[in-house]
Amino acid sequence: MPKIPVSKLEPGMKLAKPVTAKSGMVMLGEGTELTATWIERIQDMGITNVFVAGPPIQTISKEEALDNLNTRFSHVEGKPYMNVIKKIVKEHIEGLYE
Amino acid sequence: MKTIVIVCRDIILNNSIERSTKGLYQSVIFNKMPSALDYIYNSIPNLIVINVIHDDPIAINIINDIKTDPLFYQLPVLAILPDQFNIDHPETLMVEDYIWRSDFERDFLARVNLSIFRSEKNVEINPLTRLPGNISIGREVRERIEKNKDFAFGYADLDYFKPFNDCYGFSRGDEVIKMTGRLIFGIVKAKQPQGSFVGHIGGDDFVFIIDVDLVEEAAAEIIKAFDSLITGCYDREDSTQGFIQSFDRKGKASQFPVMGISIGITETRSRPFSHYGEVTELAAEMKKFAKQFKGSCFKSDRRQDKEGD
Amino acid sequence: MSNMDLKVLRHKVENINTLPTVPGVLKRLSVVIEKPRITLVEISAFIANDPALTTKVLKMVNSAIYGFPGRIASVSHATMLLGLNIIKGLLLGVSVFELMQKAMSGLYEHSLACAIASRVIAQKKGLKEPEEVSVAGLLHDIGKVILTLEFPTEYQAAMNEAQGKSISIFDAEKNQFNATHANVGSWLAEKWHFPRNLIEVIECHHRPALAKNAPLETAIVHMADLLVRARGFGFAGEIFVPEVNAIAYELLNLSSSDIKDVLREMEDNMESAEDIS
Repeated sequence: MPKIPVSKLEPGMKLAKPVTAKSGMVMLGEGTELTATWIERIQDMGITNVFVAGPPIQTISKEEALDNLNTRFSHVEGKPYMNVIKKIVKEHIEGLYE
Repeated sequence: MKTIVIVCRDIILNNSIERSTKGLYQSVIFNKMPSALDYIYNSIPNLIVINVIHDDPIAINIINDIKTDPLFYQLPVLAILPDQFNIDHPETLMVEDYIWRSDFERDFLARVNLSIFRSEKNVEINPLTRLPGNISIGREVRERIEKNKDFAFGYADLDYFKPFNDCYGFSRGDEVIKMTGRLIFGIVKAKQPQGSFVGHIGGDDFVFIIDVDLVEEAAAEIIKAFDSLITGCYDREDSTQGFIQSFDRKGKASQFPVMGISIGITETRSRPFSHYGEVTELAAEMKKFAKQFKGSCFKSDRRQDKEGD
Repeated sequence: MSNMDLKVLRHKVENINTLPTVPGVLKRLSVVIEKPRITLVEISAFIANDPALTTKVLKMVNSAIYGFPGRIASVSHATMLLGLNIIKGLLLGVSVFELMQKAMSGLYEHSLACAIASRVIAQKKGLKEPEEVSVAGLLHDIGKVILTLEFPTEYQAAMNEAQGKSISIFDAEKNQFNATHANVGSWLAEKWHFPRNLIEVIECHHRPALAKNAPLETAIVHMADLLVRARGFGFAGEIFVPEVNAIAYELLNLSSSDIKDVLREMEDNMESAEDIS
């Protein structure tokens, strides 16, 4: 459920959270599929970021991400609680690529 | 020695200013407003002198915005005007005094002395919160009644303030008062920058005037903010247990809960007022009613059963 | 070993008037200041996302002028007490540190992520003022900003040493300066009259067992810092994850689903790189 800048919005993306006007009135509900017109409207409203459904857009491959994870943890292998923490982070990262 | 902040890029003027004020005032010169602001925020000067360039009063607007704050309210501003400046529009030149560039050499020091003298005349301002007091409050209410303007009047005080003062001392009690004053001021002014008013009657009594449509929101926000800030004013053990040990008016040892704020609200839409006294009397009644409830709350005379928390 | 005189170092730190921010923030700042009917909530949210603005606001509200030093630890409280006009005036004086831009954006991202993680953990532990812990998370590495600002060459040398010798940046700082970013940050926080608990978190977030006044908050920021580094958000001077402090870990007693929630919240809220620089 990533928050992405309105400049990166594309038609077909679905809203994960409603878009509201300053008054609090809901302009676009959760689950709305964005069209080019709506995207323009959102930009006109001066909104900078919008929550879009789906996993966060990843810039590197899963292998690279897990490789980096191993490197980051290389100094603390086997230290108390660190393996537990690493495992949880690993699962989190893997979840981003589903 | 009194301090003057000068916002001016003109080297000739700056030299002249330094010469004429030497030994009399401490002059601090800045080329631009943002750097001057930093200094002003940290040590409130006695006077600000601004060199106005062409018809561009932006620096003056910035200072005027700051002057709506009670801490900077009395800060006088003296503007140096270029000789072609158009002074026909008073809204563009909200300063205490001005001096023409061509009169500078002759009049500058005299104008500085007078501006500072005028600003120090006794204005009825609470020394702790720097908020206006009874006289100003009366005037604000009367003006609105005379002009038939709708308004809401809030009257707030603190529950269990005295035990706090007795237990923790005046200094900390004063901090709470200052904080409450700033809180009410900040919230009311954010909700309604123009046309609202905040006053400090004395002790822990505050009043505010705001639009009828905004008063309940404002009261609710004040309560929320107060409740979240006040726990930090107590020692950790006391705030965890939720009370302090102190003595009541009869001298008996007692437990007193964490302070709350009670607000009584009255407004002109549900009943028209012809007299200032009616407004304050009714607001006081509502406040007394609010105090009967545990914790912070507000009671408006519009709806008797409205809960404020 | 360094020959830096601690007194000289401390004096230099305490004489800092204001901290710089990154160009991206400055860009958005002018939009914020000019917005006609901006609310306290909106301006607080903007300030709370930047360490330099946050310290500027906290310094102001905790100064002697306002009369309650050492009391205010949250941005929303600070903005309420200062008021919109004063805040706008404050924001006008913000400066940008062009030179170390790259190094700063990595630290900036790290601090933001830590603020988010701290808030989530504080909420899970039922703390009454999670925003205050979030602020502590945002400012915990402010000492690194200070050292980079005042001693850019020496700090770069410390980072190189950390990388080259595979030691922690903490230890490399000690070698270069005889003090760490935790010390330096706490000196500034003390000079600016920040609340006791906030000072303590800044000072003890690497050694949470030393925290006397706010052990829970310190443990939270310690853990948040660790999780941010574990996930690899931003750059705090070194890429390696440090060992977690066992006492802090046990004190927090977070379940794996708790930790997953923290990671997810960070993931969802980290702005894209372009927004920052």
